[in-house]
Amino acid sequence: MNHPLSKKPNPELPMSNPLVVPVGAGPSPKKLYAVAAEFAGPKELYAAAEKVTARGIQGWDCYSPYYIHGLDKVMKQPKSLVGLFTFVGGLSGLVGGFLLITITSVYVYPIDTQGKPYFSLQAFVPILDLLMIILSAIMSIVGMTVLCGLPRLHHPLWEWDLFLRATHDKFFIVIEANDARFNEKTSIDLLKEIGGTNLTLIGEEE
Amino acid sequence: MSGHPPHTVKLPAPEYLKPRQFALTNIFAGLSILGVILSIIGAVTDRTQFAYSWFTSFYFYLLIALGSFFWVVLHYACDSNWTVLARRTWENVIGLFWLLLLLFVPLLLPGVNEILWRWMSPSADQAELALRSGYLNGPFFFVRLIIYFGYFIIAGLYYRTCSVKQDQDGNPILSRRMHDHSYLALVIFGVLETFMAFDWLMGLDWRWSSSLFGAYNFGMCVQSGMAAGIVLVAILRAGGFLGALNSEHFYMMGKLLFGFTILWAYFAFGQYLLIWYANIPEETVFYNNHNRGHWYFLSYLIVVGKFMFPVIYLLAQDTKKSLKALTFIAGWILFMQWVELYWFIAPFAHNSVLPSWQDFVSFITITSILGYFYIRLAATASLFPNRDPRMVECLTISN
Repeated sequence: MNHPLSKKPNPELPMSNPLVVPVGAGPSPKKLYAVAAEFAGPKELYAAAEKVTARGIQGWDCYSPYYIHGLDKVMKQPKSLVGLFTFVGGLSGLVGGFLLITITSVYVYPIDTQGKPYFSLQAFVPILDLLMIILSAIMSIVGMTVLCGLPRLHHPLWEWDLFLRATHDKFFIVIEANDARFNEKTSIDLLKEIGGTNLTLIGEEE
Repeated sequence: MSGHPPHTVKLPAPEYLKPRQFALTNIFAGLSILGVILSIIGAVTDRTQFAYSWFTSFYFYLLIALGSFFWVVLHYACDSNWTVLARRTWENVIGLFWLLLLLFVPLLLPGVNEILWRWMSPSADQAELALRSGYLNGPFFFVRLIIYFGYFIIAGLYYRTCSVKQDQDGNPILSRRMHDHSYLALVIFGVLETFMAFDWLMGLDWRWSSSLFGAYNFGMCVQSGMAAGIVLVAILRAGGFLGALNSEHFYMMGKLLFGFTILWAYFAFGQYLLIWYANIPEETVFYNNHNRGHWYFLSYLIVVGKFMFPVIYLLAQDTKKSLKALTFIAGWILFMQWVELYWFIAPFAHNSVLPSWQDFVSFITITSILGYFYIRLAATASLFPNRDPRMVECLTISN
């Protein structure tokens, strides 16, 4: 474990984190957040995700360092709502831009330009176009951030040292405990059955 | 997609069109003979109307052919993988430039050419023409014409022949070679399509000029090239061919059609905005003439029908992923493309906005002749490049 991302043991802290318990190594955390397992690579993760979906599990996720094509389809992920944010942003840019330029150049501060009418839609189009583009771009980024559950300061999975390498070279499946049908034992059995290693119970603070 | 990553992909077997089994072949053959007879009658009775009608439909197909050339060359320039299955439909179009030249000949005959391009007529203002005689003179006009068609006939045949040759041996060096030529081909394409538009379309009013005209023409030809590709794919699918194409490929085509519809609108509006702002009589004469009387409504129809409706329609993912929905809008865009050319060309011929019977005859004649030879050409090779090195990538593409 000489990886730069893995934490060095701090002798001043107790050696074991009560929130992170490897399966079979002790009692479960008081409030369970999830059961997590590591997978060897993208192919294994893909095959495992197919089996988890087939079992009808709700509230679970795959973690990998990069985008795996087709994984979202296998996981039966619903279509992203970012497009809706973009559309609303674009529409408000169009309407807002129209009001902005009409009110200013027709009513508030009309300037005669080459004798053209104050209300000239031709001249307004670049403004409408640009405001529509910039607002839809901003709303796409805002929508994506909000839909990802960001910004947040901490996540229970970050307690697990090994999990930090999900952004580097490790692949995980995490079955969350917040679903009503969640069962700790069947989840552990499932993750073992589909080839997960380093099975770990992750708790969260009450 | 059945699994990831795909270890085994079943390559589709080459598909061959049999013209005799295709009902369209006989229909096209019959219609082209009938159309030629009617066109000759039209040319004898009303030569002016014949010239404008024939030119409208000729230019419509020229745009499609130029657009197809762009998409084929862009495939090699970008090393695209998704276009492989659909590419042969465009390659068969660019193999027909020689036929377009033949169809252009009636308009180049003396007595007809001076109707369309009035600077050729002896009644043109000679004093003003003298200022522009460096470019607008008969010999140079024909030299340019030979350069345009010479290049596109040779380049079109080169790209098609190499691709067909690859069907036999699957040699990747051919793809590599076409890739190496593609960058220069794109530049030459841009220059030539610009001057073709200057010579033939903008030349309808030789006093008028627009600096954005080449870009405007580019927008038209790329948009209608993609739309024509979609329609051709849909026709071949209806005949039971090209079964390997799936919704991912249609999604790609739909996205490009969407993008280039916006690009066309950008150039068309940009050209209008510049002329409207500068307000110079030499330039505004074009828009004045094209908005007189009822032509005004046609201008609005083009804005709504060729830009707003397709863009809103294509905004949703589902319409781009379904071939049926995509074919409808591609066909609509092609129809609007013809309407746009009609709006551009016909005001030079008559005041009334109503089309003449010759407009329909010319369109049907040119469509049938090109359609007949398209089927004949498509039948000489597989309907998709079955041994292209990027075939596996194309079959497993995902958006």
